[in-house]
Order: sequence, then C-alpha cells, then structure tokens
Amino acid sequence: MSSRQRQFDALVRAHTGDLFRYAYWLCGDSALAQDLAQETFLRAWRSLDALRDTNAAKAWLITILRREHARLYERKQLDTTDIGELDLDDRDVLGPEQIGEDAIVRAAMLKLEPKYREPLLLQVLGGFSCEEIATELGLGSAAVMTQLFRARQKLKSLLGGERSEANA
Amino acid sequence: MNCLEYRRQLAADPRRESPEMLEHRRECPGCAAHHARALGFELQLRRSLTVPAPDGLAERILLAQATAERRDRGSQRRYLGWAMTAAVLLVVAVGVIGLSPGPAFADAMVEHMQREPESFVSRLAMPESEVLRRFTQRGVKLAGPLPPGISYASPCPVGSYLSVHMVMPQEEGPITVIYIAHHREGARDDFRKADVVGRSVPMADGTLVMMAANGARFDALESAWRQSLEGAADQVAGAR
Repeated sequence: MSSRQRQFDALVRAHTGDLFRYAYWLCGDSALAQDLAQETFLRAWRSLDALRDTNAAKAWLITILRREHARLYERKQLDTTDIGELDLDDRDVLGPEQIGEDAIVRAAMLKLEPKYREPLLLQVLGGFSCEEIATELGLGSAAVMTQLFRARQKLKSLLGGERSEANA
Repeated sequence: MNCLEYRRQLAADPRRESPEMLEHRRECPGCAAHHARALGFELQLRRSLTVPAPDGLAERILLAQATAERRDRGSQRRYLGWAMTAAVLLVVAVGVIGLSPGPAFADAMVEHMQREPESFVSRLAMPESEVLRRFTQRGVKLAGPLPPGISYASPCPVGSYLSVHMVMPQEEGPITVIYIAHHREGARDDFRKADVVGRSVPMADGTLVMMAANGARFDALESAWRQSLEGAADQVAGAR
C-alpha cells in the first residue's frame, strides 16, 4: 500500500464519524449525509497532496463538505426531515428518559435556521474556536460570537416549546 | 466585567473562559450557578447531536475510493497502451518508409520523445510549482509566467544535453516541448520526421523544441514560452 493510500485510510477512519454527523445536521437526512461524507472523502483523495498539516485535516474536510453541501443545495431544495423519520440506532444504549430528551433537542436543532445551526455545529461537534469558525464561514469573530449567542437563545426557546408539547 | 457581559460571552462559547471571565465567576455566586447550568446544557446538547455514524460507513467509503482508483488506472493503462503503440508505429514509419533523417539535433529530440510514451498518459495540468522545480533543477530561471496546461514535466538528459521535457495537451493533440538548457542550437528551424512536425527555436540561454502531429499551435506556444523564458512580451513568433 502506498504512503498516500495509508494516509487516506487513516484520514477516513479518523474522521468519518465527525464528517457524517456534521453532514447529517446540515441536511437532516441520514442517507444524504452518508453520500455527502463519501463524496467529501473522494474529493479529498483527489487533492490529498494539498493537505500539509495533519492538525488541519478536520477543518480541511469540513470545508470540502460544506462546498459539497452547497452544490447539492444549488441543485435542489432539500426537504426538512420530520423527527419521526429519524432512525439513529442509539435506543439500545440510552434510557427512555435520555432518548426522549435527545429527541426533543434534535427536533429543536433541525428547526434552527442554518445561519445559527452551522456555527453551533462547528463549535459543539467540531470543537472549533470562534476565530476558527469565523475563518471557515468567512465572517468576523464578533459576528460569529453574536450568532452563537443567538443560536443558544433560540435553541433554548425552541426547547421550551418542544418540552411543553411533549408533556402535553 | 459585569454579569451581563459575562453571560453574553459565556453563551457564545461556554467551554472557553477568559481570565477576566474566570475572575468574575469566582467573585459572583449568581454567575457561578449560571456557568454550571450552561455547562450542563452544553453536555446535553453535545450528547444529543452526537448521532452514531452508520456501521461500515468508513469501509464503504474506502471501497468506493479503491474502486474509483482501479477504474482510473485502467483508463490510464489503456491510454498508455495506445501511446506506446503510436510510438512504435512512428519508429517503424521512420525505419521502413525511409524518410530522410534530419539534423542530428532534431533526430535526438524525436527519439527522446518516442522513448517516453508515458509522458502522454496524463492530460491533467501539473501544479505550476512542480514544473518550476524542474527548471530550477536545470539551473534555468524563468523571466515570466509559465504557459498554462503542462501535464508532464521531467528533467531529462537528451544525449549530452540537459533538458526539461514537457507535454502540453491541446485540442489538436499533445505537444511535446523540450527545453534544452544552456545550449543554443543554431537558428530557428522547422523540421519533419515521419509523422512528427517540429520546431527548434533558440530562446534565452537555451533552445526550445516543440513536436507534435500538427504544428498549428506552434506560433502561439513559441510566443508564450518566449514570454516565460525571456520576459519579452512584445516579441512574437516570426518577428526575429
């Protein structure tokens, strides 16, 4: 196996989960998220020589994935996924209370506008700082901080409504 | 820092506290309690968002990549086979038809091109930095930008000459461009060897040789390479 192929294998095994999750929360569809993750890695393979710093691999892959998602969005308007369609296969490891709480949070997250959802995903799932998110999204740091502040406010507000509906 | 400022900053990035935020939290029980609730919310959020990746997704991605790679290599092998066949036919044509050999310099160029059929395999442009590196290896400093679309570049010895051997795919077919470093070969000359038409042009400190099945693009490429090697934008083909 060539060193290039070994590098690619390691990249796929290290980042498939993160890429899938990020794609999932961008498009709200598990099958589409798998396609997006695969297409992202195939594009990464073709330009693997451009990756010089392994510490930058995750950000590099997310940049490719965001472009892929944008291309997809240009081609067709995606439907919003109904929470009832979600099949996330974690019911055997979580208790009923946690599953219920997660379902409420996930439903609220899918209702969040993309401009708030995306920086929040980069921070919570990607572990990126405000400055790194600003670079990725092409925004100023102050604007990103404002979006993150509002994202959490809106999410908490949505969660209040979801919990009321769930308890009704 | 006051409580409002602390809570705004915390809501923007709950997992990173500046020294000022830390100092405020230690002195303010209300904000300390707020901080604990914020971290609890973050934990819940992170757990909810961490949806499991489908089983075998990484393996399916690797399989798709390996399949695509094998398909691409198959295409390359077919193209290489075609290029080698063409090169052999060219040699046979020279030998059997008995076309009169040209000057030794042109012969050496054509022979070298025929010995490297793999130079025609790729039609994708190489990174400019890689091509520039080949010129640097030959001690050649360019005076202007490289012409675009060089798919192959190799620092080849051609007989006793040191060269940069390149291929530039065009609509009419690939053009082989060999730059002989530090050797000016006589005057500008057009030549023909069997099915190969060529042009040799002293340029900068060396000689630029272009070879192809069709010379329609030679004038434009000569001009582009002159700008690259000599930086003289106003000199065009045939002006000398």
